[in-house]
Order: sequence, then structure tokens, then C-alpha cells
Amino acid sequence: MFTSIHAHRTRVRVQHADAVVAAGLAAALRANPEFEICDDLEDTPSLVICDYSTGLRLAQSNRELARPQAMTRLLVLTTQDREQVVRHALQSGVHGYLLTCTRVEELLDAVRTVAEGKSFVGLDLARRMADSITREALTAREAQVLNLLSAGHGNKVIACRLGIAVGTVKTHVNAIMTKLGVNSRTHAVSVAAQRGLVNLDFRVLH
Amino acid sequence: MEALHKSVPLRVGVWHHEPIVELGLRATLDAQPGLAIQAGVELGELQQRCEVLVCDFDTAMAVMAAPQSAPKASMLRVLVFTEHMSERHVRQALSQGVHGYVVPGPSTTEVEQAVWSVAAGQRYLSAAVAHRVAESLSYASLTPRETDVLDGLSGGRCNKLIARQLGISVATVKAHVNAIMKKMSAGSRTQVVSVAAQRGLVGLSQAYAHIA
Repeated sequence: MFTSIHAHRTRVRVQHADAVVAAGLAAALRANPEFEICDDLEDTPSLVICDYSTGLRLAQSNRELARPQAMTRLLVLTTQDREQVVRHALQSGVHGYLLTCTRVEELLDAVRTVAEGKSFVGLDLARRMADSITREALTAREAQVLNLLSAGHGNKVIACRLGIAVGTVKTHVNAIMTKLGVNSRTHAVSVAAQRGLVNLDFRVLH
Repeated sequence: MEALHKSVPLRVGVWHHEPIVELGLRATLDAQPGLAIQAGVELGELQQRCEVLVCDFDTAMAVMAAPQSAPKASMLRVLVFTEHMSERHVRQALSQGVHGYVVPGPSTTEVEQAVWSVAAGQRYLSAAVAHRVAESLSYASLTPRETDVLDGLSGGRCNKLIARQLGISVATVKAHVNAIMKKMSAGSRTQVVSVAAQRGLVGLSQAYAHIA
């Protein structure tokens, strides 16, 4: 299948929704003889570098495959840096996750690692995720309360919506504030938005 | 104009903090006839050499703010290429006078078009950015003082603390908070922060830095 010269080349397909990033990825890989770009969709590359939603889509088709050895290795390159979003991609079966602001050396490292069958998460993301492990997670109920809090509702309305007592809501709000390390409701909302615990995002989704 | 493009290539500089994006912009523009991509190890040097600078948001803001490199004097045209498109970013860029604002998309032709447009003295905005501008115009804008108060609110500070930090009375802070709530049609202080985060009116990372 391969000619002898190409036997050790890593075959990469770039499938990114952002055309400029796609051009940059191709340029970075072409400058390095150990990689070979394959444009043909019929071809079977060692791995695919793609944007977030393409990554999830390809992970889904991977899961539907009968033979696990036919799986496509997936490396996602995206600006999506929220903890929950990253976690979701990795749990869905994406093998590597990098932010668009990555250095070229890290990208090449990620391509090699993922092609070898291992997982890869960018250094800055890995640090942040390590950070989040040390923090206490919110319970499902607390997350619900936090979402309503972010929408600007008062305790009474939150209690009504969730069908619980106002006193219980107060307990949840206190627990949320303790876990987030803040001392006001308003600050809780702003920290939650920063950490991606509630859904407030207006950037281009890729 | 066309003839001019062909005889003298347009000098374009690329400066982006994301290496992959910089490579991509370079590769895209390099392939264009009529453009000469300038190299520069230092931003100031690159600015001197080019007519159009394609750069990231922060670089554009720095270039527009620096008096010695004021684009008015040097005729430099600045084109922002960024994924940021919150109201705050777009408003800030336009008020600083950037010539073009392009967000990533499925085709590289837009970048090329934008470069030629700003070189010809026109403004260029991606469709999504133009939409954000239209949306932003339909909101009542906050005064600089209200923005200060909003930043305090997002930092989770109470009226008393905001008053002390801004050197104004608590009653004045209350008046500002009420004005902000009215302008944002928010029913509570908390909703103000949430709406402001959605519309990108506050730098949330700064608010976060206060507790770190």
C-alpha cells in the first residue's frame, strides 16, 4: 500500500472548518518531511486534525464502527477552552485536544502522540484541568440553582421553579459560594461564566 | 486601481499571536498575486514596511493606541483577524479606528477581499461582525462611569466597596446600578452580570483575577 520511501510517514488529513487554520496546519505539516498530507477523503490517514464539531461527528462515526481497528484517530484544534466542553469531547472519543493558540512544536508533538495511539491534551489545558480536579465539583442540584441564579432569578423564583423551599435554595446558594470561593451571588455568576459552568458564550463556535 | 495592483505589489504584514493562524494567514496571502508579504522579526519594524497589517485583536489595539505609529500619520491600514466577536471587542476596535475586522470562516477568500478593501481605503467587516454592530446600536450604551460600576459589580463587590473604590457616594453607586439595570432590562444585580457576560461588556477574566 505504501511505497518504501513513505513507509514511515505519518499520513494526516486536515478537516478544519476555519479555512485560515486549515491553511496554517497544512503549512506546518508540509514543512516537516515526517508528515504527509492526504486530501482524498477516501484515503485512510493515520489521523485527522479537525475543528470541535467535526471532531464530535467523526467520534460518533468511530463509535458506530464494527471493527475498532478501523477507527480514525482524532485530534481537535479549537478555541473552545471551557472545562466542560473539553471534557465532553474527550469523553466522546476524541483522542487529542489542542487550543488554536498552540505552538507549532506542540502541534507536531500532538500529531505524533495521537498517531501512535495515545491521548494528548495541550499543556495549558492540562494545567487548567488539573486545577479543576482539586476543586470541589457542584452537585446536579447546585448546578441547576446556579443556572437560574445566572438568569437573574431571586431565591423565591428559584424555589418555585425547582419545587423546593426557599430555605433549601439558600443552602444551595451558600454551598455554591463556598465551592466557588466567592462571597456574593453576583460574584458566583461571574466566576461561573469564567469557568464555563453555565452556558454563556458568544464567540464563533469551531 | 487594478493596474496599480499589478505593477506595484501591495506590501502586507502578518502578525498573530497564534502561530498556526499566522502560518495560515501567510500561506493564504502568499498565494495571492499582487501581494508582497513582508517579513519582520519585530512588530515596529514590520509596521514601517507594510501598507496593510493583518493582526490579532490585542496587537491591533496596541498599534492603534501608540502615538508614534498612529495609522493616520503612517497611512498604515490595520485589519483585525480574530475569533473574538463580543460587543465589547467589536465596539472597542471600531472606536479605535481599525480599518477591517474579519472573523474565521469556511473560506480564505474573505481575508483576501478584506486586504484589498482596506488597502483601497474602505472599511471591511465580516457579515457576523456587521450583525453584531447593528445589534449593539439597538442597545442603549453605558456611560464610562456606568462601565466602571459594572466592572465592580462583576467582581462581586457591594455598593459600599464600589463607592469607596471609585471615590463616590453609595447613593451615586445605587443610581448608576439602577441606570445599568434599566438599560439592560435586567431585574436584579445578578442578572446585570449575566447579561453583561453574554454581551461581552466586561472582561470576565479581570473579574476573576480579583479572587485569584
